[in-house]
Amino acid sequence: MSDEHDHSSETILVVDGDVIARTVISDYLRHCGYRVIEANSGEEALQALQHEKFNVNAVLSDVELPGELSGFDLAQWMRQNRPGIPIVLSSAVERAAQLAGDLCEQGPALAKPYEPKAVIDHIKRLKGKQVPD
Amino acid sequence: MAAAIEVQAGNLKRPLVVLIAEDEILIRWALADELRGFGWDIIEVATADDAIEVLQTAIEVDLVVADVNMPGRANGFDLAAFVIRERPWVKVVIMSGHARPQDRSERLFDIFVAKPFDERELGEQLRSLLVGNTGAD
Repeated sequence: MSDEHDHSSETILVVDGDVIARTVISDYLRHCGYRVIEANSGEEALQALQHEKFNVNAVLSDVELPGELSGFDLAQWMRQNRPGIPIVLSSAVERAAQLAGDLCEQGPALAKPYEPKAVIDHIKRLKGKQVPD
Repeated sequence: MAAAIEVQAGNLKRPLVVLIAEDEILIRWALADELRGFGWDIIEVATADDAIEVLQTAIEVDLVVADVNMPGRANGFDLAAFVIRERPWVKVVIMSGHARPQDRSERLFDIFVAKPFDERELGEQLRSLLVGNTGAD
């Protein structure tokens, strides 16, 4: 990474059909100083990648996604159409949190505000506790 | 420290939490971005079904902003009816380009917003709804 590179404008596209996991991981990346676009599906990800307003620099995607496109399909589309934008795929939320932690270390703050383990614990807590009716 | 984690710590002052249910990513992102600028925690979902799932977790949602027509079993009015029945303290804003407020006889929302809308104006309306006109939260 060049010191002259302006990280503050870096945009990460997070693609995940699991709303809790996507929200917590996206907020983690925002706390690291990234601009984050959230996509619920591969179709939404394609829309974001094709819209100049978003100017995505990197993609973090789940493998299994709602809709017609998987993470693999998205990666294939990007290889053909957006070869300059890196995409990392993960099939487990633990791995996604780890990858987000790695992005934090390269990101605007050059440090993790908290460890990926805290991200996982938070996701589990939110999913595990149902509000009694 | 992460705002979202402060919410989970509970009982203490926490940021306002807004759940946006909108299947158009451009509209959803623009509104979410505007509201994040207020320091609020925003949860973005693309269907009313996902919104209902979020409302059944431990996340304390203060406001639901919902489109009417979305893919899945439930639409925005169904989501609003769920909120009023199950989480009556949560405020509801409905936004639509096709539906009209009088399409449903029940009182399902605090504000009805016709699309297209200016997200800055809507942001101010939502701030008034949640924290009054003082500009402080």
